[in-house]
Amino acid sequence: MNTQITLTGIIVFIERNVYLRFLLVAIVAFIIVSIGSLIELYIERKFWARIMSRYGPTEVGKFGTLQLIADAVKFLVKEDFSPAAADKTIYNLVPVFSVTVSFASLLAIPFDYTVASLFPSSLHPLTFVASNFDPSLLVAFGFFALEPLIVLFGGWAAGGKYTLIGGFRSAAQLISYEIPLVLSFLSVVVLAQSLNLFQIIQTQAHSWPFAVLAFPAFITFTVALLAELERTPFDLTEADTELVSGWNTEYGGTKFLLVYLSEYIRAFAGSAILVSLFLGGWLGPAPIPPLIWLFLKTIIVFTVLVWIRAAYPRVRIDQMLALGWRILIPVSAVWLILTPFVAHVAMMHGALA
Amino acid sequence: MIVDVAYYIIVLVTLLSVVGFVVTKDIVRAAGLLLVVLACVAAAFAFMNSLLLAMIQLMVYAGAVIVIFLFGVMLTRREAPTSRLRQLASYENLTYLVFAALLFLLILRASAGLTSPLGYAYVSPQLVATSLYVQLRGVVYALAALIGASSIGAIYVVRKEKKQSDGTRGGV
Repeated sequence: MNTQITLTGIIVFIERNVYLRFLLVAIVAFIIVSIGSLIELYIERKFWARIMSRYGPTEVGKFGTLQLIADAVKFLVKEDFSPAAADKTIYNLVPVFSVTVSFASLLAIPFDYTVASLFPSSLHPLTFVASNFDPSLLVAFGFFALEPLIVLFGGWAAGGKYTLIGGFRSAAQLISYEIPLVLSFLSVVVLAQSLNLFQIIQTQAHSWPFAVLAFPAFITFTVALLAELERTPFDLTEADTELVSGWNTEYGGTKFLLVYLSEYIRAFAGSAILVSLFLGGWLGPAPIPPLIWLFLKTIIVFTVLVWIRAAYPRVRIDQMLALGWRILIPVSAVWLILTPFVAHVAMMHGALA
Repeated sequence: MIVDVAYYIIVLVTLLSVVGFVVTKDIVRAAGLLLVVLACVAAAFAFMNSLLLAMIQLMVYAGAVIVIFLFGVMLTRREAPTSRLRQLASYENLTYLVFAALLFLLILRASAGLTSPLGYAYVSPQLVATSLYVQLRGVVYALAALIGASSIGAIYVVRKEKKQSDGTRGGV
């Protein structure tokens, strides 16, 4: 009894202090994303291997689960080197900024409601929300929009030919695929009448999932997200046969670990945004807590991305640009125009609240 | 209190980046510092409760415009600056002077006749914005015109020297 009172007291104290709330949300988001990234990496290696009729990691730990830890230790103990031609300041700053920006894009994802749902408190969960601000969707994409710059600076600062070409390719790809990405999520914004991810998920509680109501936008968003995350079949920026490893060729040891980590954090953030926009976020049947629902859906979406990676070959640069400019942008633009009519029909039939 | 401290850290970073942007000799670093300035301006908007404007600033100016600058800079042949430009660039003390004068004017204007209940001069983000964009707009416009004129002047000097030296056009 005494313990319960103390716990409630702590919760009330945290709820009343906005900075503590932000801190708690940041810590929880950090833990969730770190665990999520590790699971993503394991799925990537194991699932991908099984599709290719291989075993994947098996030696370190049960089912190779500790292989990731072994890899991380290997990166951390490697010699820290910088190429002679590198601009040392920018070269060293790029991995740090890459991780920071990737983490910052998680600001908008409404973990906090789901965190509140785990607490044994009778307080209304809405009072606990820290990241429930109006343009939260824009916040996520605002930080996503900074990635091309980091890539470009990284490619240039390393001072290599492959890195610079990789940087250019990456920046061009990221910028051109931002257009269909934004056009796709705008149709969801029209349906939910909000730029707030929290409200977008709440709208789906009383409607059909937006993956059904805005199916073309869901498809274009998924494809554009694959390109934004630089994953196969759109991994031209790291095309090993042409560019060694693209813009991060010259990064090794801890710096490469940071760059690699930021890729998976971005993948987690991207998958979580897709889940929040189209698949109902934390919504799900009651016995499983909302936080676990959000986590599970995100991991499933990521697994589908890995599946696509294993199933499709890398596209050529002209095919990638043609897909973006000739198919994704027109389809998402036309769908955006049609969305108000779809919303009207859906409201008439009770499919949209 | 914490918000104010964070705001002033942002302001300090912005001001240092602005000076660095003007005086640095490396054009890519200049673009990087401009990115810091634009990102800090976005942060300042966020402090003034304009999150939408902050994100637009981040996506459009920091995210897209700087990429275009960088593409232009990195695809251009790197050449040593001409003698006249090098001479002009050595007047960086003038930059520090103009910067210090503007900062002094800004602080003077923003803190004039305004004290907190505790007695010390209190400069809120809103007050800085009002001072900069309303009361001191003449100075800001004059500086913007000066920067514009400097850019056009630099292009003119390069073209003139190129014509005089070998008749070829600068850049590829």
